[in-house]
Parts: sequence; structure tokens; C-alpha cells
Amino acid sequence: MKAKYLLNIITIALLLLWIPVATEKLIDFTTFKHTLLRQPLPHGLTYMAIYTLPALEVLVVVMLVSPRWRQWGFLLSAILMALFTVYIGLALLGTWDRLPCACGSVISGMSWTQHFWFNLLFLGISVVGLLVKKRQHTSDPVDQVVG
Amino acid sequence: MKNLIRKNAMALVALAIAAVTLMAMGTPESKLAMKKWGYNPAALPGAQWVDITGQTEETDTTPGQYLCHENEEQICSGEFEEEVNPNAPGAPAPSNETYGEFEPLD
Repeated sequence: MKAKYLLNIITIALLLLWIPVATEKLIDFTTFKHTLLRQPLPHGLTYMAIYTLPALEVLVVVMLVSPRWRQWGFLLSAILMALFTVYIGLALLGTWDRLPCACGSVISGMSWTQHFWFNLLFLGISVVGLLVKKRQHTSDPVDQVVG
Repeated sequence: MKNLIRKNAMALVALAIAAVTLMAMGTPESKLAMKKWGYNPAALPGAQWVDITGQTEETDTTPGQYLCHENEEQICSGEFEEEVNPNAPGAPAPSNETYGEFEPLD
């Protein structure tokens, strides 16, 4: 029973992150596109990210909402957060001459260092959700459908 | 849809979060920085497009792109067509401005 409550809390926390993030990208796609084009990334990779990132974020939300796919939602959330965390980590380590532009972020009040720790926190939350969900499956396979 | 929501409380939570998000985005003043661009009267007759807060610089990698910074962080930008000289009197306002308020001072 405790695991179920914990999973619900984790799911809601992740929804509170991903829904605003995905919504902002979709509603103000032009700004998101320009922001990404200013990042110090190869052009091809940037254009791939422009179109896949919003789609993946929406997919995370859909998966988290569905009891059947929630585990995959935790996994995808962890993967995306890991990618973002690594990117910010590289920026903070001085990989590029100047810190990439942070304008356009929904969490725009944060410094790069704060954003790094914020991402790390949500990476941890995603991983915990994944582990708890997997453990729940192992102990009660029926729960896989109920969620 | 009604059945889905009845069976799945998390869907209801997601809808509520989405609704709040959309309402919050409709609120103005959600931009990070408001900087004013315009001609610098002190530089006449060769007026310059400058951020009047004094923190703007032109990039050396992308012609026509002007950025403004606060400490080490880039927070707004404006782009001009490459063939346009933004420092010439009568030059148009920049396009693709991000988090900046662009208006000519004249």
C-alpha cells in the first residue's frame, strides 16, 4: 500500500514538471526553436531535438498518466532528465566558451547551477519511481494492470 | 473520455495541471528580461543599436545577431537581416527578438 502512495506522489511530481515544460514548447514553438538554434550543438542534432523533444515530453506525460505504461514513463523521464543534466553539467564545466542561452526556459528564474541540481533531483525522482514500480511488479504481478 | 477520467484519477490530475499551466502562460509579464533597444543619441550622427542598459554586444560568430547578457548568462537577443546595417539611421527594428523590448528611441 505504501508503494502505491509513493508512486502516486512521484507520478504527480513528474507531471508537474513535464506538463508545463511540454506545454510551453508546443504553445511557443517558435521561441523554443530559436532558443535551441542558439545552443552550441551541431545543426543536424539541433533540428532533430527541435522536433523530437516536445514529442518525447508529451509521450512521457501520456505514459505517466496510463497505469499500464507508467513504468515506461518513469524510464523515459529518467532518460530525458539524464540527457538534460549531462548537457547542463557540460556547460558548467566550461565545455563551451560561453554558457549556452537559457532564455525560453519555463524555469527561467534559475541559474545554471540551480538548474543542474533541479534536473538531478528530478532524475533521482524518476529513477526511484522506476525502481519502486519494478519492485511492485515483482511482488504483485496483478498490480501491473491495476497500476 | 469520461470513463477514462473516472477510471484514471491521474488523468484528472494531468488535466488540472495542464489547465493551470495554460492559465499561467496566458498571464503577461512571464518573460525573464525586458531590455530596451534603440538608437544611442550620444553616438549621433552614427547612431547605434544598443541595449540602453549597456549590456549588449554583437556576436562575432553570427553577423547581424545582437545579444545582451547579465553576468555570464545570455538573456535576450535580436537579429537583423545580414544586408542591413543596424547602425545606419533609419534601420528597421530587429526581427526574432527574444526577451527584449525593441523600439527606436527617435
